[in-house]
Amino acid sequence: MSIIKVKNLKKYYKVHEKEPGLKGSIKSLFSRKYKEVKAVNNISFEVKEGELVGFIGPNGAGKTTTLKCLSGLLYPTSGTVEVLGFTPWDRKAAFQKQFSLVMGQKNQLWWDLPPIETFILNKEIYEIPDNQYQKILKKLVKLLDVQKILNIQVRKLSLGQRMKCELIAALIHNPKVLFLDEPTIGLDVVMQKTVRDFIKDYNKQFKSTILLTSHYMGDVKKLAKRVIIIDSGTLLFDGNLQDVIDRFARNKIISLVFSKEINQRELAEFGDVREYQYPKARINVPRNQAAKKASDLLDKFPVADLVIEEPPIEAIIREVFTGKMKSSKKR
Amino acid sequence: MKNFKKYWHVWWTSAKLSLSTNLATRGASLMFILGKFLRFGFFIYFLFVLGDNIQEIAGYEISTIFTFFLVFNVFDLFGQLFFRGIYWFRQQVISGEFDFCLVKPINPLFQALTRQTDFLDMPLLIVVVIALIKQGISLNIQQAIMLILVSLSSIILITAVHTAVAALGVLTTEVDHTILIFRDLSLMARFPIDIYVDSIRAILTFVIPIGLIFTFPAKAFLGLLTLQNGLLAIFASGLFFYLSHTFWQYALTQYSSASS
Amino acid sequence: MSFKKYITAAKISWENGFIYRLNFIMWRVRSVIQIITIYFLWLAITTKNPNSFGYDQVTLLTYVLGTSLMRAVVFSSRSIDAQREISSGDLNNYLIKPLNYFKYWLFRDFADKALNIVFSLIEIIILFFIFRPSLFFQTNILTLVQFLLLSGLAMIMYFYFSFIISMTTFWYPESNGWPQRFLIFTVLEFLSGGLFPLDILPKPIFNIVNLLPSAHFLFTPLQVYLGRISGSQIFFSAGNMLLWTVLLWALAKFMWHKGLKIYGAYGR
Repeated sequence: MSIIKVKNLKKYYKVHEKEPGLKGSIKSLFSRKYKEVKAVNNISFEVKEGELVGFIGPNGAGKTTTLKCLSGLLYPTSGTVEVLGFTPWDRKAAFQKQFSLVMGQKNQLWWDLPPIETFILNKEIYEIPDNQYQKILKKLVKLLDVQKILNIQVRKLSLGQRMKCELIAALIHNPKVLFLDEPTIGLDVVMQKTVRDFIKDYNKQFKSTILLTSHYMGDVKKLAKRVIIIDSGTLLFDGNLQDVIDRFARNKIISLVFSKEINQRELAEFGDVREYQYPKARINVPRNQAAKKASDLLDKFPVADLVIEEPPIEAIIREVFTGKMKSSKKR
Repeated sequence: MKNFKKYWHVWWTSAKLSLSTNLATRGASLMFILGKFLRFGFFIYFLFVLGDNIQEIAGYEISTIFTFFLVFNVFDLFGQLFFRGIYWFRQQVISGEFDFCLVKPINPLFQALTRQTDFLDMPLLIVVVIALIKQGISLNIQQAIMLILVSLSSIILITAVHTAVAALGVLTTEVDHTILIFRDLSLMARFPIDIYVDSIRAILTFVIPIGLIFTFPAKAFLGLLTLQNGLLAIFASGLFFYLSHTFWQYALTQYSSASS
Repeated sequence: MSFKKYITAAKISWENGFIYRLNFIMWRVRSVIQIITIYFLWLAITTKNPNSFGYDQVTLLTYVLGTSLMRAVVFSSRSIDAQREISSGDLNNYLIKPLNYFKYWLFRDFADKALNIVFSLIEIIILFFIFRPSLFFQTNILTLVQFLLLSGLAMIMYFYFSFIISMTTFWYPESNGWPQRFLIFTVLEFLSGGLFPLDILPKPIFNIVNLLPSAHFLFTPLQVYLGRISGSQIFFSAGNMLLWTVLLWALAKFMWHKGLKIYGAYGR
């Protein structure tokens, strides 16, 4: 049962281009040039209940725009979207009570008041009964460990503490669907881990469907089995993270430790030498030849240790984005 | 001399940037200019309506009242034109941007006040000055000198006020209203401050020198300013300038940089 | 439809107002300065020129202080913040919630007006005891009721009027909507009767000005209070006000729907 259905979604924007400098400013008084930006250009996918899906793409890929369409914030240029059986931009209260959107940089906590006040306001807005509110609040506060800061003014909190409270404010109504837009942006590594762990636990405990966008591979690696890769408004890949590797990784990496000095140029004949610092070396070889090359290397060189590895997913994705691969959809 | 050239260059460069910004937001700029002219025009019309019904206010004929209003605008616009930066100063202090001002080889007070030059006040200022010239001046040499000196005093006083506001901004970042309070008080001087009761007039002359800034030059323009009062204005400008500057220096010593 | 969410919003809006004590005091100081400015202006004008504008000094001073009080009730609003929320995209936070944006701001404005009127009353009473002007106190109950009703209507009128200005930021988000807001403030300064009673204007001009919604924010209710409009005239004015309220309400709803469609178009 698909809880989110997106079909042929398109969203185009008009942007005004200005020439730089004082002359450009004066020119813009008289005539303005507009160009059309295809933020989302024909995307389709479906998500089942309880899934945790990661959207990855570089900045400006269309991830946030897609989420905004799913939240009902934007009217698409064309295409259909259905979430929990509703059309998001109808903005029915019944729909809004069941989903939540968290945007990395946009805050909903009242700046000068303690976070608990915003929680209470949201409780009333979402019409949550008292006991349910208390139960969920307790669970969330425990998961995020924020007991001590609930009554401190938001502006006095650190960025990490604020983010945690923003999450609680967004989840106090126990949404069935959660959209997270760049949730770890601007956070330090410790906070990033905390937020990722929380999202994973939340997905498990509350069984909610989660869509998250990010340009950090770390978020996706840790959280999502299924990824959707978007670039320049088009969907490049939709499937398991593992399949990304299988499909797009052209190479494997062979890591070597030599027992005796060798001729680096000879090594280069076997493949693309990424690193050479005696006694260690790393060399890229075409995927399907990896095993053969490995055995050849063992024959030719005095090798003390040899490991065949997948390239880091970041490198694969980068290759996907820089268009080394033809775009293709898979489902 | 070299120093003066440097400051002139810095000011002129940031002024050009301000102008560019205004031109880039053409709709906004036009609306602001329109608003300023409307505000001016409405009030002039209001004075006309008053003039249709009454002869004088507090001993001044309505035509003289016009002059007071025009002179008020000259100095009011001057402050807004050159010291627009003060309206963004609080933001600079809170965000920590002010740190950058402090480490640059340019007086930080200068940076804070002149960061933005509001050319949108220029059109109205030109109109006001032309109107004043049309009013016609008939002063002898002494009175003319007095006018120049008192006008300079006004400019110095306006600078002093903005300096004090900036100092207050460094000390207690919550003070967005102070400059607006000054503007509200300034509005009291659209009419000669003689119309107010003695106690209030005293406050407007000796405590927050609105009267010195706006009414005195107007009186000088009309040849009505006594030598006594002229000297008072000059002396006061020096005093306030010194006090505000001391206050500013003190504020800097108390400055605690914002954290992220 | 539960109103509890809007009452809660009003409550924490009230709380929020008190947080910055210094800011709060400054705001009151400004309010007092504005009252004093206008009071002394008219005191000076009417002292030498009694009965010049069709008003005697007592009536005029009552008018001036009355409009100062009315400002606190009619013009005070938090809902100006809506223009910033729309320009910056913070509106998103509200659009995803089951919350009526209009009602939300209406209730927050009520909280603000309640706060304002308490303090304005205190300030005016203190000023009254310092300067001891002779004022006119309306005693006719019916008139007072009419005055209060019209004041209430003025508040609602202004709410929609102000919201319409905020919503122009859907189309012109530059500078968070301040250009248009400034322009409107300027016009309102003169056409609402805050600086001077509108009927000192020459008759033909006054007739036009009196038809505009701005005339009813301060001027019309106070004219009723002072007993300068009565009988059928009141019905005419009240009818005018009602008509404007409905028009503004309709325009606001219309702009909201159109505006939201545009909202996404420029990628905020």
